[in-house]
Amino acid sequence: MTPDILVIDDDPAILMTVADILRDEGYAVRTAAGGMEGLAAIDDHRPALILLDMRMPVLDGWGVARALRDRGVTVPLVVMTAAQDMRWGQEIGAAHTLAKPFDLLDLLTVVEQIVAR
Amino acid sequence: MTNSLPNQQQTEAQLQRTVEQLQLALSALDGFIYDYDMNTNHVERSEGLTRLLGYERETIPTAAEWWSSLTHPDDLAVFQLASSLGQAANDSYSYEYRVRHQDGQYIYVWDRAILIRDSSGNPMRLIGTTINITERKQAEERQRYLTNVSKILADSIEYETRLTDVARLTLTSMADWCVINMINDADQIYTAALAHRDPEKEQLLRELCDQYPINRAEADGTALVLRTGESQWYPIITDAMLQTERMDAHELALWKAIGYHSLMIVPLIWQSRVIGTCTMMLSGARRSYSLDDLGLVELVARRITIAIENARLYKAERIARAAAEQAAARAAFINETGGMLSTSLDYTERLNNLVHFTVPRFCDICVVFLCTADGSISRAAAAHADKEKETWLVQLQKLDPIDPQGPHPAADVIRTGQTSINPDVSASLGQILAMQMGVSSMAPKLIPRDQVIVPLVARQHVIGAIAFGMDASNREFSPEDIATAEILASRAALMIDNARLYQNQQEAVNVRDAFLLIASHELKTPLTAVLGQAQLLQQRFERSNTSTERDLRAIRVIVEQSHRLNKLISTLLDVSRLSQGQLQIIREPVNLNQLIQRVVGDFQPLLVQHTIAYQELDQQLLVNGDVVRLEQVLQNLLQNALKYSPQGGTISVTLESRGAQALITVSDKGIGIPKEAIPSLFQRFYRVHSGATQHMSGIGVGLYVVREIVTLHDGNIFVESTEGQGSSFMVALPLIQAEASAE
Repeated sequence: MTPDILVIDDDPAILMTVADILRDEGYAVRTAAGGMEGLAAIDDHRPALILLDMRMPVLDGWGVARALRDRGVTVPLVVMTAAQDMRWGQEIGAAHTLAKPFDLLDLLTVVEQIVAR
Repeated sequence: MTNSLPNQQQTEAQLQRTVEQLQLALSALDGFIYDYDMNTNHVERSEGLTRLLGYERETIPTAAEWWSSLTHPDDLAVFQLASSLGQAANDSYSYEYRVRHQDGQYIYVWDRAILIRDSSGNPMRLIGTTINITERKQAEERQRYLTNVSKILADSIEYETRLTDVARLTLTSMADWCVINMINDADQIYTAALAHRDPEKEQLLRELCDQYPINRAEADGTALVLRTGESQWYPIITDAMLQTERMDAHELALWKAIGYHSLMIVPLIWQSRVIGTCTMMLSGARRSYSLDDLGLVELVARRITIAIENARLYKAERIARAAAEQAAARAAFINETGGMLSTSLDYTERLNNLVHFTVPRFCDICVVFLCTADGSISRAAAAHADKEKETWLVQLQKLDPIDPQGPHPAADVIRTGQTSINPDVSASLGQILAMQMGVSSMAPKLIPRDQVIVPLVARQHVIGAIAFGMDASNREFSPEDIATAEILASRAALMIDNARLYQNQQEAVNVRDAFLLIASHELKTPLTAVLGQAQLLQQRFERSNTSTERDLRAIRVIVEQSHRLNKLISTLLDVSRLSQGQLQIIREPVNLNQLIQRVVGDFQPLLVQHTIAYQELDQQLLVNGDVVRLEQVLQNLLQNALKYSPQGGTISVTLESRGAQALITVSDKGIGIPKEAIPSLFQRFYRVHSGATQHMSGIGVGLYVVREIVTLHDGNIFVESTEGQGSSFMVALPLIQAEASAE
């Protein structure tokens, strides 16, 4: 079974880049251009991992994390943020934080480690 | 009884001899002998009586009561003593008392008497002598007078009231009336004190002094004394002497009513300067001033002068001291407001403190008016000693701003830039307040009784005005108060201006930081896509083996430059956070040996011309620090070393423990740093300007960030450099446990 990874980011270029990198490695990737769309995608099918941007309009990364907690959904989160504050990931109980811009190898290493569990 | 007769005759003869001897003795004195037969109430008085009291011996009654009628009423107690003679054990008596001369004046007499008793011991005769002791008494009185004058003057602080006491004291013995004239600071003569024995005549004397002031041009009298500084003595003033002076009928009438007979005018001299005169007059014809009197009055005059000058000095000293104390209080007040103005960053709060500090210490009302950005005038702070009125004033702050072209007195001060002292505001201010408040009854109560409005001027611009007003305390602003008000205003203006500048600067900093945060976020997002896509391409090329070396190099350049761009953005963000004190250090034990190995290892693949040598240490040196930030420090130092040794060569890194500190040294053999540049090396945006560096890129923040991070770790950074030979940067960081790490 191919692990399903959900990428949530309001920047379409990042969505495309991250999705392409992961698809090249054989992951099944779904993308969501915002927090609301992300939550809708989870309702359809629960992913193995969520790559989550923090600063987004309407529903941001904190909101998504809270909504997941409220619904009792436990999916590993990897935060992708341009801010140099690594505590954001800790705040929402993320498995890992990737600082934008991140290296392709770093991304793949983190994803591989989490999905392999 | 017959036996007694020869005895009685013998006694009589004895008495007669005694009387004759006494008569002889008394002829040298001014006095008489008397013989009072108590049985017949007949008094026999000798010749001297006429000489002493002016009464003809032949015309005076022989009854003892006549003498009592001449005696001064205050001294009659003496005769009450005499009435109890019978009970006295000692039959010799001595009294001093006053008796009335024929001319109506009293003289002092000394009365000594011997009581003669009959054989059964009953008082029979009183034989005595009465001597004029007026001169002695006068001398005593003079002495007493002088003593009293001294006593009065010794108490003298308010010497002018004391002068009146002195003038009044002269009346008991020295004069019938007395005037003390003084010269004031404006060189005008004024009556400082006057006194007359008769209260009604004292009124006339006052009238004389008021209506006929001293004319300095006069040839004699006070004018002469003022001119020459020498006493004038007129033992007898005749009518003719008065008539010769140019004197109108009314003045002459006043003189006559007041009385004149014998006159002394003595100068009051202080340090060779005539500061006044003392005039004494005897109005009764019986006595005239003697040279002794003049000497006495001159002595008194000297004492008066000393007392006046002491009082003046004291007064001047007191005024000076009061002024000094006031000045000190004012200075303390201003200083306190100064402290208050600098304690808070929010200037509206500080203005509020200021107005509440000035009320009620300095004034009853204080209102600060400020020009707003749209040109109108707002009330920024207000205080009133009356809390109800203050509530109204505070309400006013929330109402419409003041029309800068309108009639409000503050608007006027702001327009002119001039301090306004007690302007007539009742009409204009009352109208404005009534209109703004919509309550006409309160408006008049808010109008100050006395007020000063000072413009607030900062950098040549009127930025507002501060109004100080008086209300219920009924105080008024003195010139010193106005000066204080202006100092307060200048300080308030400076404070407001500084606060505004600071606010503007803060806003600018906030805008910059917000911009940097947004910029870093906004820059990093596309950078993430660029780097990701470049690396994706790189990976696909590697996997497909379809790419040329040139393709791969192109992609590699994109990746490298993306990393470089990322570092620049991060550094800018660091600088922004450091300047705001927002850079946070997340501490954990850091093994410096491992950290250096890791960073040096990361550099190795990038090195072309250089080598980095790190001699691994056996010791484990641990510091409590932020591993990411400490890596950043070492990376920056290594990058600098590479950058400033363009010819290549070895860069050495060493780690050692120095006491309680770990010391990391990064040394290169590059171009070095000019001596004059070293002090500025760690400043933000500083770049060494020299021929060797002019083509080197960088934004000049690397060492600034390094130093800031090291400082946040309670460490120090030093540099040693010789231009053309290389540089050594040393970072000292406090060790966690020197003993544990030494194992």
